[in-house]
Amino acid sequence: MADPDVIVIGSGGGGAVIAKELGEKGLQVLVLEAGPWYGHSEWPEPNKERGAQSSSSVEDLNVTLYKEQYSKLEGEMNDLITGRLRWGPADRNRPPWYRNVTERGFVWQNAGVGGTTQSYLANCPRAFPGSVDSIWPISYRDLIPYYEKVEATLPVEFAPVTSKEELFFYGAMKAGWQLIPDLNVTTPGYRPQPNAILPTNRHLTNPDYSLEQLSWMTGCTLAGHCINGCPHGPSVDKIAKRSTNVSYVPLALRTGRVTIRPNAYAIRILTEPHPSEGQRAIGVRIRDTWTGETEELMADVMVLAAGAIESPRLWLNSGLPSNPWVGKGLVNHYFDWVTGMFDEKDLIPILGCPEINPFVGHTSGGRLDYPGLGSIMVTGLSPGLAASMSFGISQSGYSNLHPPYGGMPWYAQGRIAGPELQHWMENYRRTLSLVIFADDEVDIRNGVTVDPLNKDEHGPVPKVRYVPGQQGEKNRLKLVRIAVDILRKAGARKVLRTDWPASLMIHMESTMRMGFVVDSNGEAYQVKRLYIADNSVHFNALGGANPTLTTQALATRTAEQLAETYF
Amino acid sequence: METIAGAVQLCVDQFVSGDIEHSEFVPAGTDQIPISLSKSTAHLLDSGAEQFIRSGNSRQPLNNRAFPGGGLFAALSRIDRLQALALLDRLDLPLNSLLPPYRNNPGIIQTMIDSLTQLTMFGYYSEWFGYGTTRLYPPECRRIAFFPPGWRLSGYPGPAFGYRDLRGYILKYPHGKGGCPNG
Ligand SMILES: Cc1cc2nc3c(=O)[nH]c(=O)nc-3n(C[C@H](O)[C@H](O)[C@H](O)COP(=O)(O)OP(=O)(O)OC[C@H]3O[C@@H](n4cnc5c(N)ncnc54)[C@H](O)[C@@H]3O)c2cc1C
Repeated sequence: MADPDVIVIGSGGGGAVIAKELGEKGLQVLVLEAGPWYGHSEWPEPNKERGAQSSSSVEDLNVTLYKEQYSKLEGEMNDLITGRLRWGPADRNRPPWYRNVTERGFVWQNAGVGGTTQSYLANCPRAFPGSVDSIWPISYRDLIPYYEKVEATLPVEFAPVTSKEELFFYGAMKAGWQLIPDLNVTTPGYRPQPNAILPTNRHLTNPDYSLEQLSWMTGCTLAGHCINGCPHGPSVDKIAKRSTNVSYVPLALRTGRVTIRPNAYAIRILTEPHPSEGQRAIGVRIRDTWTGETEELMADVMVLAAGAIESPRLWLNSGLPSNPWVGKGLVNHYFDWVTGMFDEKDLIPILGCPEINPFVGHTSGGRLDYPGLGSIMVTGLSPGLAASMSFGISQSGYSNLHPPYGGMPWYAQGRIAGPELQHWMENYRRTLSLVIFADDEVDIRNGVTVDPLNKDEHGPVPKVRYVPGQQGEKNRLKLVRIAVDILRKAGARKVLRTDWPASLMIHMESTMRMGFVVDSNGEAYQVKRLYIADNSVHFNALGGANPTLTTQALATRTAEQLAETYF
Repeated sequence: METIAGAVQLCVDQFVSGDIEHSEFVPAGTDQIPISLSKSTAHLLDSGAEQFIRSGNSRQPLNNRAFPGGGLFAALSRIDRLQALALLDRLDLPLNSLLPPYRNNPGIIQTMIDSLTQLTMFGYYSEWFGYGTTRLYPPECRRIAFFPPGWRLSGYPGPAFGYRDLRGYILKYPHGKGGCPNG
């Protein structure tokens, strides 16, 4: 593509959205993506060979390849070191890209077209209004039309109920919580997940259709593979879970003005001084992840959408003007995880069957929201992930080395091992897990820095520090109590609180905050023609709502402002 | 409870060391000799074992024959191995005696203790053992050969095309106009 109008760096939650919006506005857009492109005829073996350089062809999206590559095997897909959905180069024989995380934990992201939405659960709540109004530089009302547009485009629908949601709602009701019907959540309560997942196929319960047949038709089949990467649908653009590689990317390509180049790692933003604009972005230096060759590409406007860790890294490695807030203020929704184990005889009256089968349905189909505190979501993982995330990672040590908690013989906390682990996993089909994530406060000491002496092939690597503040700690504890209560009210005979480490990073936001690094249109204050359109522009942690829908709404809004300002 | 083949019998240690070997630690500066991460991790475990024995809390005798060729950690009994891991997890040893990247680096020690546990569980309950003779091949060359024991034990049926457990919808999504003021 010769001289695009706009270059977008990153094709994940935010980048794919702004690319499609700009393409629809008539601009020529080049998207650079560090990772591979799955489900595309030009990259038949994306993890084995380089394939083509770039593509703008919607016809070349290839659902047969997509289904082969998205194999639904959790080891092959989700292994953070060797899996297809990891943070690393397309060539899986090479190690993942290194992050220097200073505290116990790891950063969970995916490289590749679609970014981390490839394995996201597609939960799309709006921010809680009380955490935006009179706090953000823009109001919640400003956001609503953009939320609506994204919700219609993905689209977002309320999740269907399967056994695990039914049991969760039963427990929540017994614990005294109310159903929240409104999208703009101001009071606590439970609700089905607003998910970017197509409604279930209308023939799902019709035995005349085999499940395999249904998996080639439009609509969710409740196969439970959201987190492993969903491959179900008749064509790439109609895959049931609406990661951006199957939603916004096909729409972007359909404009005929968007080209996507995978395996292209941006390593430096290029700028020049300009008499009236001041310092302004003019291009980017990239490195081909297969050949190691570097190249410079120019455009009128640059959009940074590399995610909340790499966007500040790229700024810092490009020698852009110093700003005390670049990379700083990282929030992460202090997470935790609790699991209940149920008896058959308690399940039968509630569910009509003796098992929950956590691997069925949307990976997460139900939630309890508590604006300002955070959220609790029912979550069912495939067994390797379930074991390792429920029983293998904790900041409380090994539960069987602790003395039991007084008066609560049914409760334990920490990692488990040996016969106890075997017991939990033998009862996997009768477990219900709840993930908790707490609203946490922006703290300038948390964030991303780079050390010039600590570098990989793309320059100094990100050093990531996150230590939750008092508010985050308090919120999390309150949510844990609520979650344990819900499990008990639903009939759990045993409850295990995993106590995840704070630096287990899944919802990274706010490292290039609106009002500090970018203005309310998403343009950098100190570098003209440089926009940011990913999780890093959030002003705060949204009150504890999952971040992506807000990123996508803002990216839609930023596309408008950008096009109006420069084209 | 059924007596079953544990992670050792299913060679999950090979999965764990393979993954650790494959992950990259980028040291700062150029003066550090990069030593393989699985070797320095084995050394970390042996240091934990040594410190644990020194603490006098070891309950069972050492057994050098349990894992021939293994170090001090491997000679500990099961429960003492867990105690040694717990000791490392609490950072209850002089951190300057460790090899890089663990030397004076508490975050990465604790992350590794979590990772060792997580990878063991992930290797055991995911499809890995079912790759049969291809399980130690490069990731793109592995092929499922049989139903993995971890799936049988957990009752996981394996990847699915779908399930018919649809119990209805509680709410219908109130889609807005989707029109932006200027768009
Ligand atoms: C298991 C899991 C479940 C999740 N579930 C949910 C959920 O249900 N709901 C929700 O809202 N959020 C969820 N999240 C978080 C969600 O994935 C992120 O909020 C979202 O993907 C963020 O979008 P982004 O554009 O900021 O970053 P990303 O989606 O990570 O996209 C960044 C892209 O930029 C590319 N890139 C990075 N650096 C460069 C570079 N230098 N050059 C070129 N390309 C580059 C990356 O490869 C990537 O494709 C989940 C996350 C995980 C890990």
